[in-house]
Amino acid sequence: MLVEVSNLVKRYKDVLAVDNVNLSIAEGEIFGLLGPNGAGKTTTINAITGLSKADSGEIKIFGKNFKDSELAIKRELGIVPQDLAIFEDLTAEENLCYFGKLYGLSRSLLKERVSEALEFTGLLDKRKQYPKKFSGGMKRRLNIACAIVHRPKLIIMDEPTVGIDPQSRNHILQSIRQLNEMGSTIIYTSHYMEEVEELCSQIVIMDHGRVIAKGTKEELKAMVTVDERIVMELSSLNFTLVDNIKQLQGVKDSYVNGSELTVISKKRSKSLGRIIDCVAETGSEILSLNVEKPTLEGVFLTLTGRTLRD
Amino acid sequence: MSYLHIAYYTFLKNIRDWKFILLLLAAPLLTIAITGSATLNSDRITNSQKAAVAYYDADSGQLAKQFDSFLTSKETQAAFEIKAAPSYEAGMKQVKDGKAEAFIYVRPGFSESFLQGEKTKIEVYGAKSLSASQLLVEGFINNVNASSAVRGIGGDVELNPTSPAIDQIAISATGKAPNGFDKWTYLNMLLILFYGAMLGTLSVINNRQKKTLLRFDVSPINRFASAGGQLLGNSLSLFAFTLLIILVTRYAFGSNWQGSPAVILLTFLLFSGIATAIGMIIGYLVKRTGLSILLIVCLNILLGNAAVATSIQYGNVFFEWIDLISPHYYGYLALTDSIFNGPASRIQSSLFSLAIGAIALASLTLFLGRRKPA
Repeated sequence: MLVEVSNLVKRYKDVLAVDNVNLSIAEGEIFGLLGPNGAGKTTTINAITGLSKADSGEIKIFGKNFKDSELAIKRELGIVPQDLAIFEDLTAEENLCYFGKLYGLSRSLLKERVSEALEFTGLLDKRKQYPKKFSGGMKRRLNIACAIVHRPKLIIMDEPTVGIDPQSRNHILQSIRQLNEMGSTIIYTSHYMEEVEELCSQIVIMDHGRVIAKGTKEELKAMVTVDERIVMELSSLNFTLVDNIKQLQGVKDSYVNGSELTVISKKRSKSLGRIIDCVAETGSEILSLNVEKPTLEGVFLTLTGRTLRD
Repeated sequence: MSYLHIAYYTFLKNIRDWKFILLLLAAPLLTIAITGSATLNSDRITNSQKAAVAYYDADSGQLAKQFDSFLTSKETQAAFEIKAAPSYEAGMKQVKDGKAEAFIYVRPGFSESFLQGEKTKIEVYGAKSLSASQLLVEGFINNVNASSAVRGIGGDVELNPTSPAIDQIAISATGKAPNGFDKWTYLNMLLILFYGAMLGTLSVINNRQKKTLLRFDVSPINRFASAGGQLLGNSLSLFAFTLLIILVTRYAFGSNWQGSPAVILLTFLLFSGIATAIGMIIGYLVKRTGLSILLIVCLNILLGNAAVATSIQYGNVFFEWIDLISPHYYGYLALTDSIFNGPASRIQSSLFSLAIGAIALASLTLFLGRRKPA
């Protein structure tokens, strides 16, 4: 295993931020760490990278103990922090030279790697520009370039797509796949389940500092295949209808989201017909109907009773 | 190498901060433009600004005659207004009435006692603890002692009518005595340069607030490299601004920078290091920009004004204590003693004090800014 975290515990005064977390990450994976804000993802990442000291537990990276081989591990580690960590008064190229040199690259190699990283993130033609003139997406890409300029074996990305436009997000997701194809192992944290679902081969779901589920996306979805999720758009909605549907055989839950009615029912309970009849009895018209396949959002909802963005 | 690399980029970022450069450059230049004419026009200092010294020689021996000759020499007269008093009492009265800054009294039998190898002294009375008159007498006595020592080993010397002390208390370029206002310009420059401490504070706080500190924390560098590199880069930035100010004042305003270049540069280098280190320490401890800047301003007022009070000879025990830790005071002494030919021993001790302060503060900066072990 490239990264092994055993029984990690981290407290901030009375708050138990990470509660006995165990992770195993194999070489060549894109490993997803999914959870809502405050789930303990960043704290776990900080402990892995040595940014904060764990209260207990053991962390091994590249088979080495962090405490004993700190500098050797750091040489092979690249971090894309959640917040932008770039100097606005240095050009894009100077930012990369500054941070790249901290990894001991020689002048000629550094020049080569800086050009590679700029090209990789689509910023080569902007290399002489100051980041203060960049868009949010370009700044995020520069943030990534600073982390990969020394070609690390392990790249840790902490919510790298927060607050950017769809075009830049796609560019970043594409870059992550490319980095993985080039041999880097990636730990990717996000509360955007679509991103994690699209990118990651192994996923861990965290909530309240604990790992509540782990596996491949198929394994995680299998956990909730007992339930069906039926979403209907209706011409009119009232609480009596919602309550009536909840009483139907095979229905586990029912709730309203805007003009949509979402019903969670047991799989193969054949409740769809009964639900449609119930709606028809109230005189409401069904404008659209969708029986959704299970998603990681659904997995999280099933496991915690909350959505990821709650 | 990481230290130099971080220092280079810190320097680069600082010199691109044109607003801060403008503030650091404009403030001293404006002040010098308004108040610095005394320094520029030291040629015009008149006799009325010479230190008035009364003296009464009650001895009629050989050495006392030498001293009379020394006091009435052209060189001494250029720097002092020497007034012969008719008696001891009359001389003391001149000091009490404020007509003379000091009264020099040579006791009866002074020459004879000295030539017989007995311990004797020339007495100086005055309100000021380190007056120019005292230096004048010290210079003469040193000269006499040196001659006496040479005689003791069989040599023969003739006492000169002048003393090295004369040079030490006069402006070398013109031979005119500087007053407090001349020297105040240099102190004023130190007061303004101390605001360069903000370079240190802002680099520490911005690094933390803008999350760039994280990149240093996760990189495989020495745990003191980030703080050390920033300290070096910020100090050199402030030093570079200082050099620019010196050049502008020298060539645009014709200011007097005719002291030892090594002493002047070393003084400003150490002062820049101290100011930056203080700024960084405040940044590490306070963590809030507004409060940090307020503290720098307060500290500058306290340390700077203590030096100002001493420079204008406003005796105050509190300020004298503050002067012991004031880089402004030591910087002021080193600069003005170098430029106005003050005592070399005081230049050395001032530079030594600045160096000790710089080393202590740099060590504290490195300690506070070190990366904590994971």
